[in-house]
Amino acid sequence: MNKRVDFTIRAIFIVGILLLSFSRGLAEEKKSDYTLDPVVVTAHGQDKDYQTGDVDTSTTPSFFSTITRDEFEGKMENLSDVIEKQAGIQVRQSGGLGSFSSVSMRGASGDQVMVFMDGVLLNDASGGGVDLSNIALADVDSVEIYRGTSPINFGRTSIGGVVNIQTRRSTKGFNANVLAGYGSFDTRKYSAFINHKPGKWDYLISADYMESDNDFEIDNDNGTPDNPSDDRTEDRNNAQFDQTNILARFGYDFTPNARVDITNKWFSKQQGIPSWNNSPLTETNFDTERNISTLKFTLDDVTPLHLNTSTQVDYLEKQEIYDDSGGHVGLGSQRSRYDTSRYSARFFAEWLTDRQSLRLTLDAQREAYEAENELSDEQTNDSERWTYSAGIQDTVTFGEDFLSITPALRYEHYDDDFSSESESWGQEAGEYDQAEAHWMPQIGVKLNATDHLTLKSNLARYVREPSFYELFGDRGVFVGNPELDAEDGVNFDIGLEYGRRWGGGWLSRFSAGAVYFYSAIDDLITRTYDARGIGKADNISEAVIKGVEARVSVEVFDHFSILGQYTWQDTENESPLKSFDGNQLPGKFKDSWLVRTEFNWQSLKLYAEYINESDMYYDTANLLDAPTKTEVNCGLSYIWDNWRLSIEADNLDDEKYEDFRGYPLPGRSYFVSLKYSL
Amino acid sequence: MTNFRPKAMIYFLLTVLLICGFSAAAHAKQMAVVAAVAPDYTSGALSVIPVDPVDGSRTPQNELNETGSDITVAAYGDYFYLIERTGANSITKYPIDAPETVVWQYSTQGDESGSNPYDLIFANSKKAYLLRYGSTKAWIVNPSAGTQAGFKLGELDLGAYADTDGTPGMVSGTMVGDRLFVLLQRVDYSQYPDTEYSTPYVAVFDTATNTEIDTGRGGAMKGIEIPEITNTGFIQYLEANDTLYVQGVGDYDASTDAAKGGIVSLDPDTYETRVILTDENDGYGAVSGMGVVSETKGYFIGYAGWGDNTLYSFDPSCGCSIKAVPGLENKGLSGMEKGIYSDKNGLVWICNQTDARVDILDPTDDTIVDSVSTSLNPLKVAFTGSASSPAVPDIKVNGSDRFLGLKSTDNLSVTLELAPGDYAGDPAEWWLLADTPFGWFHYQPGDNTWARGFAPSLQSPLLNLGEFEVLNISKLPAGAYWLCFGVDMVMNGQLDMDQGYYDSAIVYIE
Repeated sequence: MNKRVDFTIRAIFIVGILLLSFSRGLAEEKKSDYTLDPVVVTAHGQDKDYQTGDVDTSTTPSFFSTITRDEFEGKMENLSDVIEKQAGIQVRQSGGLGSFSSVSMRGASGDQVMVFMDGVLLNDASGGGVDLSNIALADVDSVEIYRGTSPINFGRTSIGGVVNIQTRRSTKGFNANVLAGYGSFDTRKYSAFINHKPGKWDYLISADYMESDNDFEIDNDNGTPDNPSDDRTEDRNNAQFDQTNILARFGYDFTPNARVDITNKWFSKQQGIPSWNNSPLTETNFDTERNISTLKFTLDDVTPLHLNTSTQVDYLEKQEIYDDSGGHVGLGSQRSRYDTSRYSARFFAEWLTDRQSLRLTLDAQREAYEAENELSDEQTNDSERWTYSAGIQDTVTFGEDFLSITPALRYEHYDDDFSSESESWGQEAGEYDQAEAHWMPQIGVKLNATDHLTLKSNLARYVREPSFYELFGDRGVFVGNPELDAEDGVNFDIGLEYGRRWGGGWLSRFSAGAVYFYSAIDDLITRTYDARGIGKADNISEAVIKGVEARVSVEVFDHFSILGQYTWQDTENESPLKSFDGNQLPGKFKDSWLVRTEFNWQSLKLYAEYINESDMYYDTANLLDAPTKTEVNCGLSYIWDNWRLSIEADNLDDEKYEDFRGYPLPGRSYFVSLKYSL
Repeated sequence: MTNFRPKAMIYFLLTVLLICGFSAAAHAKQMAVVAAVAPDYTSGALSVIPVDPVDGSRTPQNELNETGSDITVAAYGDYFYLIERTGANSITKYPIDAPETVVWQYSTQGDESGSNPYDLIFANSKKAYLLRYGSTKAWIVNPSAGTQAGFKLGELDLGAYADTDGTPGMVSGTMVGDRLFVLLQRVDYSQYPDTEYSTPYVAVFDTATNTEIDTGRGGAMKGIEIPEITNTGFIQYLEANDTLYVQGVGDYDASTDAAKGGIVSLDPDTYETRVILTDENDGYGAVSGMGVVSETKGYFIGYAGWGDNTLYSFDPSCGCSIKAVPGLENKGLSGMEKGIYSDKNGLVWICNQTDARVDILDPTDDTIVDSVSTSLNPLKVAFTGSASSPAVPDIKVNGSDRFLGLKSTDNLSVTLELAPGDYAGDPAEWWLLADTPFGWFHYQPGDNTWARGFAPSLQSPLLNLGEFEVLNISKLPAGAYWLCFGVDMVMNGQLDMDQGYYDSAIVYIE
């Protein structure tokens, strides 16, 4: 089909959906004032911040956890620090604050975990997973983590699960706050927030700035671990960073059931990249700038079916510049620019009755990626991917919410156009066009056995399409393989959750949960290198991942709580390569546990936690053992009048650990912040 | 006095021979050390494989000394050296009979951002040349040094050959007599895949003075210009015909004219070069590896594509008679290293990365005589037990090397000699033992006497010992006397037969 005609048809499709939902809703609005149909279920059992399109966590069978703002308010943490304490989650960082961070969920790699921010997918088609250090926390309201299976609200999903970041939303009235923080390694943080909703319209602006020298102490063995005589303790060089993040949101309630949100999120970061030998002469850096603009229209109770709908269009633009002109980190000089732009449109509709919730999502997305070698003005990659997905999910409830069954089906279609690709000689291979489609069914069951005990189970099929990097290569050091198939996985989990509160007595609250999960992944994309040292991706392996997540939480005397959490995961690589077959997947711990205690007394909160992760290999051949990672953290927060003071001490035992071999993490550090709220 | 019956003497002789061996140089046998990497380059390790089969097979020790993946290996005498490049820039010495015991580990790092050590070329056990690809300077090093400070002895400045990326790209080297030949690649990869190829050179150094020799073949440069090929990878010396061979891959896309690759011969005396073959061919692909076995037999690897390399045999005297070797076609064989290595028996070891093994080839008929798994993908093979100059102890009884029959009334003179070889100056234990009808004795040099017991005679650095008499006696009681003279390099008061050199003689008194 002629490209222009094809594009026109797609554009009409997207615009048509928008016009349809908008115009019909407004038309109905003009007809009459609303009266609720008595069978319409609009209550989701959610907090007041719920909007159509959000996940109804009261009915989903997925195993999930929610981290609310008050768990990280005032701390000098980034998203990595916040989510790594959740069961089944592993985060690996390459250094201090602002350094590259990747997330693994139930043994799945960063490429297999989808990260959304307000419904916008942050994973790029270029690959590599989402760098969590590029997500500022200052404007985040909550983080939801869906392990394994995920609700249909997320049009795109993958084998590992979903991390959903919700930024702050306008609330009635006026509130504002400012915050300043300072800590180890000359870390500074400043943020300001203002929210105003006097009536039908509202606005919200959040801005934050963070910087750090990241000159933490490291043990430099000079590349000779068996020769201690040349070892030295020194400060980390060229690891400094600074980032700025601004969220601006404007909203208007046409009616209680019709609302528009216009949002812009801008993020910018400059990050130093240290060299292998921590040379003070290194000036390599990696800069990121990202902007996401969103228009969202929410229209509830439309049509005789009383549908709740949400329509959203986004434009994401990201530019990354890697500057190693001095050749301090890689081999030879390099200065490369990577541009990603993405248009996306999404439609969500739900039909709710007292016994059934039917949900539909439609997604369309066009992503373009360009890579340019700025030292030679060479454009080595120009790729475009169109993605269409549709999903339908039905939650049927039996008895008095005793049992609910939630089957769902997703359809995803990818259409890739490449105008350049690196083949084995590092030259362009010409244009290439391919399309693929996948059906992904899933089913979940939720049984409320008693008022306090819930059993859940899920079974789902997911795929991960190959990234541009895996398909088209990079600058001749990595050969493209357009014949790659998508990774194909089946997820299963089953578990129970128990939670109970008591009034009076020493025991205030008790909750516990345990989940068994299993995942089998076929066509696992593995990168191998030939005798010349040139890489190539291929579908040559399979993996079986199984594990257990367990959690117990006790609150006594309304003031003191203890949380214990344990994850065991067995990741097995099934590969025709003998040196890989039967091995544990690299970078995945086998055992992880966390113990956290908290004490609350009026306005004072104290906490201490211990984290332990063990039995991990850095490499796929399982030759390089990673030492056990332990971390002891503590802190306090105190609120008085309009002030909030937070003090935290991290890694108290000053462990010098490496999530990635050769990239040390900071040792002991301290931070303090002060926030004033209106 | 004990009378030895003939049968008992035979058993006795056999036992002694088993202990001391026939050879005057009873040291560690030749072993192959293989640098190997994981297929995804997330780690690397070494394999140790006996060169000669034991009980019919070559059983490897795999996944030793696990580390990163940018590695190579060198060997000399009874030691091998793990050379680590990116992210480590270090070199570690191990003894072959304890391949996971570190003798020393030193950094190869100077002022440059990454020295990227490529190879270690040995003059003797105390002097070697460390080629550093990321630098303009090669290091002169002492592989027997006990400290980092003693490791680096000096530098060879090759900065005159630097290309547009500021380094000359010293990739390979070899010794010819007392001259060092260093191959300089001169390729600028800094704008990869826009690669800039400059004319390669071979710089020649007098290792006695560590000064560069003006070959008169390099125009303004002292070294030898190699204009016929580019992107050179390896230089090899064949003693049989006193010829050097230089391999260059050129551009890996052999179909382009961007840069030619091939094999060139080089006369080490006249410094003249001659093209043997080029990649303007015949569909072999780029010449990514080379190994010359004899004047008329050699091998090269044709790189046709990713994971698609083929081993070809050819006649180096004419660059002709090119044939693909069955069983080694369309595999991953070479690129980062040459992939072809010859052992002491003349067999050729091929690094087969597709099958994660080394294939051992008989060059007489190009058949694979053995395949040994390395677990990981093999990159390079180095062979130990090939010291050019071992220590040579010699013991004689009345001028005889082995067996002597005497009457009781005859005079017995025992003399010693020692040539220290490459080990001159190395600390060692000296052993002079006698197993007599009335027990063990050991020689005490301090007062030139023999004392009862089994003990070393001396702990002292090796030196050249001219003929030296240690015993002159007559009227010895009848019986068999076994005398053993040797040195071992392990200072532990124990007789370490597998780490030293020994000689023996037997006297039978009637």
